[in-house]
Amino acid sequence: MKKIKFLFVLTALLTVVITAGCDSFQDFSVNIPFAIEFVDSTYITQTFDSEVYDLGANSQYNDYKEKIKDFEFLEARYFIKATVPDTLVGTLKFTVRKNDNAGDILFYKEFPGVTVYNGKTDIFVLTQDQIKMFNDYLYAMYALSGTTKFYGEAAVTDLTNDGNLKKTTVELHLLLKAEGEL
Amino acid sequence: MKKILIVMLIMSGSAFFSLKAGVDDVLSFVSKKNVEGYLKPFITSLGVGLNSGMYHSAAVPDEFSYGLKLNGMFVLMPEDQKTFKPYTPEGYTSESTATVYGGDPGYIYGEQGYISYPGGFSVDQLSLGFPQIMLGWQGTELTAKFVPVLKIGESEEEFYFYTFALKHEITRYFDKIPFDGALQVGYGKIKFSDQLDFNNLAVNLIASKDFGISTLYGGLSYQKTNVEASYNITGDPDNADPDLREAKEVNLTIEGENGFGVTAGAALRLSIFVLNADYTYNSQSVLSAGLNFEF
Repeated sequence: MKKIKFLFVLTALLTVVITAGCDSFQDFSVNIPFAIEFVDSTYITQTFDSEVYDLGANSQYNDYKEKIKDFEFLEARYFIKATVPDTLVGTLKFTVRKNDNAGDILFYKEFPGVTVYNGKTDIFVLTQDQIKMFNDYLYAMYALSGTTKFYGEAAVTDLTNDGNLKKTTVELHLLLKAEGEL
Repeated sequence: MKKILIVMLIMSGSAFFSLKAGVDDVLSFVSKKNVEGYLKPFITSLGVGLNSGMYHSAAVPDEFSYGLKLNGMFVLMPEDQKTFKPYTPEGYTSESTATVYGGDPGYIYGEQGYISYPGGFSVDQLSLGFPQIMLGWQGTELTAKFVPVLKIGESEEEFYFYTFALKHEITRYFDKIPFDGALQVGYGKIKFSDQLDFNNLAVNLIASKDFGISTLYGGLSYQKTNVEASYNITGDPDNADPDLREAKEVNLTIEGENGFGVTAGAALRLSIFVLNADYTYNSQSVLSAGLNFEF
């Protein structure tokens, strides 16, 4: 009976559940999306709006910021949410800067001669230099406790000056990829 | 001795605690509709892992016997369990994304913006180690592996796990059958506070044949695995997925993808030592090896 008792103790003693399996569940990766909305109307040839977005107010970023080891730009798009009238033809211009309107430009994109309508979307193709600059800004954000703010501008120019009301609601959608250790 | 025992037990509980905490963190932004697809391969792994190495012979002697087994196994992840097709809200088209064992996080784009899914942990195989004891008498054998109730972490969450299996040699009732045959029924549970309640039922039909000091064995198994889990969604009013806009607690039951499996293996007996190795083909296949001390 003593031997059986010893076996029970030994079994419990040796029980190391999910040994190497646990080490595998340390490194995580998630995408963090955010959106900036711009709304403006005009009776002449141009709409313009600017917004400051604070990633520090993003609940997903806040959930992971202490665990992030690498953070990078993944993708960005614009999406037209509404227009008055139903279609407009003009030049779409987007600017994203660091921190505020005096910050360095992270990227500027122009889409000339575009028909603007509800649901219209397109992707921003960034150069390697623009991506590097964006990623450096993100690095400063989580590793050097830098500012978490982005400044964005959206404009529709070259609209027909017909005296009628023209209105656009456009969203800038950005997707960042975070890697870290849980 | 007692102190070492306590330290080891707390270590094993802590390992599970860290695993659970990690998965909990990742699920903060996964809707209830998608958590099943994301976690199902992991539930399957626990099922096949707990049921592996439960036997290396169908024979059970009449006289009283006991033994200890040190069992190690690799659960191999098939490629098709590294991705799943998530549920998507209206206005989005579903694309494959990573399960808990997959790689990069997936995302889709639609009128509300980007919807993202968590990445996996890039797991190709899971290594598990379970010591277990055997007690046999009159053709019936009890196999057990367990951890008693532990209080883990600052919040002193309760953790325990056990698996018990009863094997009975059937061919002892028949003459002239040229091999040994047995039926084994096992039940396992992993409980972690009120957040994770894992249950595994396994039935194994076993056949073995002795050739001197070696034994060839094989088995057909049926497993049913499920977990009742709860986790918290952080809530993000601006999230493109309507299911992730409010903070809430999610409760659900996830079934593993275990079902039927086939095992083939061999054992070598040297006095009180028995070495065995086997391969189980299931939705996740398992390579298992054991060192047994049998008296």
